[in-house]
Amino acid sequence: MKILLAVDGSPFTQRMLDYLATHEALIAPAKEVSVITAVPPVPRHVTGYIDKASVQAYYDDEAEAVIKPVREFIEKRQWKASYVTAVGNAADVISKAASEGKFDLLMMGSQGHSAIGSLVMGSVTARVMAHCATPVLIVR
Amino acid sequence: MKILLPVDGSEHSLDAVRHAIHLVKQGLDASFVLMNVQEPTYLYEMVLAPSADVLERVTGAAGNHSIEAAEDLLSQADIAFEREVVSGEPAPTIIETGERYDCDAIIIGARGRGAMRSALLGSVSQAVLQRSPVPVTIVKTGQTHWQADTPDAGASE
Repeated sequence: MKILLAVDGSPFTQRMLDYLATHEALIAPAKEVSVITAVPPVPRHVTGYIDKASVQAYYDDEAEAVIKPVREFIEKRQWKASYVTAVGNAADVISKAASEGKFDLLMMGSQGHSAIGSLVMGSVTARVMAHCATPVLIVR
Repeated sequence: MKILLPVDGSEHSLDAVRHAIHLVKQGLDASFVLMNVQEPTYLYEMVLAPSADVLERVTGAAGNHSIEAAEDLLSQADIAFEREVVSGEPAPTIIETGERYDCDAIIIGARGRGAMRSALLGSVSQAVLQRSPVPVTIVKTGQTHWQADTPDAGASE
């Protein structure tokens, strides 16, 4: 079984991990879980002023800030995981990864950093659901 | 873990069951509660024109009928399940049933009987997603990867 966890460092990421920690049966059949996070691209008119290496370092730092607590949580539980970060629009990055990786299940929060409680789901989750055929387990 | 599978008799809603079966074949250890909600018959309908349709709802036959195809799928896959046919407003009843059975998750089709082409997510699925105390897996229709779930289709991942 292949499971993809989409994380963004918002409270929903932790809720998703907490749910998995109390429902390990869900990830038990997966040899490893794949974890993905997307870093929004720096606008073109800004990158013109900054050298490539610095921009890349920025992307790496942003991704690491999100991944680090996730990795620590996972390693403490001795689950196996692989980590992917990609620069781009979150919905596109996640949909593409889920489809191309032929995942059986995608897990993500109902919302992210810009959560508005009254909505059913946030824009990224809605767009992923619109464009991606993978069944999506949504954690509120 | 225990998973709630609401179906409404539509082909769309069966895709949730197919996804559940696929996960079990991939090694998931879970038990299932298959359920259908019938909207309640109103006294008005019963008194005025007890058509076969109304009576079917009253006797729960419609509920049983709606759940049949899903039961067949699970039985063919040799998966044990509990079943529940309930009367009430769909979304709150689904959630209440999930709580009653102490379910850890809900797997539901993106759309069901009232599917409109333009709708991303049907009204019941949306309402369940909004109010569910447990994670909800939304399964879109037209999935094909579980068609590979035959013994000679090769190993998964």
